Amino acid sequence: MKTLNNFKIIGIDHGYGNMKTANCCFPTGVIASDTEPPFTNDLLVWNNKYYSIGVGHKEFTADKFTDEDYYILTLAAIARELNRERITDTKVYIAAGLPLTWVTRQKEEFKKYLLQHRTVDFNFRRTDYHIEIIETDVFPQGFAAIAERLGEFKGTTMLCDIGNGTMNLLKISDRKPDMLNMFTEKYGVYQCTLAVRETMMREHHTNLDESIITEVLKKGTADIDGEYLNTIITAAKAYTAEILRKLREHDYNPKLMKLYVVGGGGCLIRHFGEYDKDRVFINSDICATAKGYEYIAYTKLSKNGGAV
Amino acid sequence: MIKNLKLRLNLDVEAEKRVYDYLQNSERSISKEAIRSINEYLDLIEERNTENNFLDRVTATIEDSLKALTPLLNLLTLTQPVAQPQQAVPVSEKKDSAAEENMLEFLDSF
Repeated sequence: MKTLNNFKIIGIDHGYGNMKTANCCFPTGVIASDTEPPFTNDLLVWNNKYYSIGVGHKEFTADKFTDEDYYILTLAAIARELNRERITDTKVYIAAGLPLTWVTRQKEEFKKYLLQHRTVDFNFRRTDYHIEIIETDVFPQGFAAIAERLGEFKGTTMLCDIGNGTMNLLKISDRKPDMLNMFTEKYGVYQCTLAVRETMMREHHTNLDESIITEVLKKGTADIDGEYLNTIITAAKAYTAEILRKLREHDYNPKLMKLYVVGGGGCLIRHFGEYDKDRVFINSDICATAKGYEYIAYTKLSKNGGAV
Repeated sequence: MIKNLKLRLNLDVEAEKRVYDYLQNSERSISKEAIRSINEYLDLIEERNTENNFLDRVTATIEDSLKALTPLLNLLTLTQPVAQPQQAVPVSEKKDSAAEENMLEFLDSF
C-alpha cells in the first residue's frame, strides 16, 4: 500500500488461484451465506450477507467479473492491507491488472466492476471498514512485476508470467517492451494440476488430492509413495516441457535472449524444467505483480501531482 | 479472560524460520516475546503515521510560503538576473527516467 496525498493506492493481483496484494496472499475461494457460519476466521460481512473468504479455490473462468466473487475478494484484499496499518476509514485507489493481451478489450469493463460502489461499508475479521473507492486503473499482468526494474533489462529478454490460469509472454529489447511480441496463453499451474491428476488416474487409478499435487509442484517433492511421486514428477516435467515449447513457438531462443519468469508458476520451471541457470531468472516473489501495480499507479499519478 | 492462539511456522519459508529462530532464542517466554514484538511494531506504525502527518504539514506550509514569495522572487530575477548553475543528473538517474518513459509509453498503448 502506498500513500499519495489523502488516499491509499492498493495494488491487487486478482489471480485465478490466489489473491495477492503487496503484502498478503490468500486463496480465491468464496462461500456466501445468509446466516453467520460457525468457525470462520476470514469472514466478510457486506450487504447483510456473510462471505467465508479463502475457502478452496475459485473455478477457472475466462472473465473475472461475471459474478460478485472477485468484488468480495477485492474488499477482503483492501481490508488486509489497511489492517496492517490499523486503518479502517480511508479513500482507496485500486491498482489492478489483466492478462497482457486482454487489457485493451476488458479494461473498461473491469474498472466498472471494481467501481460498482463508490462508498463501501463492510466488516472483515470482526472489524468495521468504511472506504471510498475514488478511482481504479488496470495494468498489464506480468509486465507490472518488472516495471520498476525495466532499466536493468539490457539486451533481449523474454518475460514469462506463469499464473494459475494463464501465461503471459512479452519480449523486452534494450529496456523497451515490444508491443508486437506479447501473447497470452491458457497455460498455468491449474492446467498442470489437471494433467498430473489425469496421469495418476490413468496409471494408478488413483484420484490424487489437490493439496499433494500442489506440494509437489511447489517444492519438487512430497512425503508420498516413491512410485506415485515419480508419476507426478514425470507428468509435471512433460507439462513444463510443453510450456518451454510454447515459449519457443513465440520466438524464445535461449541462446539469443534471457528468460525472466514471474508468477506462482515459476516453481514449475525451477523444479521440472531444463534450463541454463545463468540465462534464466526466476522471481519467486508471489506478490511482485501487486507491488508492480502500486508502483505504476504511484508513478503515473505522481506525474500528475497526485490528481485522480 | 485468557485466549490461546496456535502459531504454525513453516521452517522451509525463510521469513517464518526467522520468526521461529528469534522466538526460540528469546530469553522471555514465547507468549511474552510475541506480545512485546507485535506491540512494538504497532507503536512503530503509529509513530510513522504521526511523523508522516507532521511531514505533510511541514511540506504544505513551506509550499504555501514559497507560493506567497513567488511574485517577489520574479521581481528580483528581473532586476538582478542570476545564472542558475545546471544541476548534474547522475547517469543512473538518467537511465531510470528513460526506463520510466519507456514504461509509461508502453502503458499508454493499452
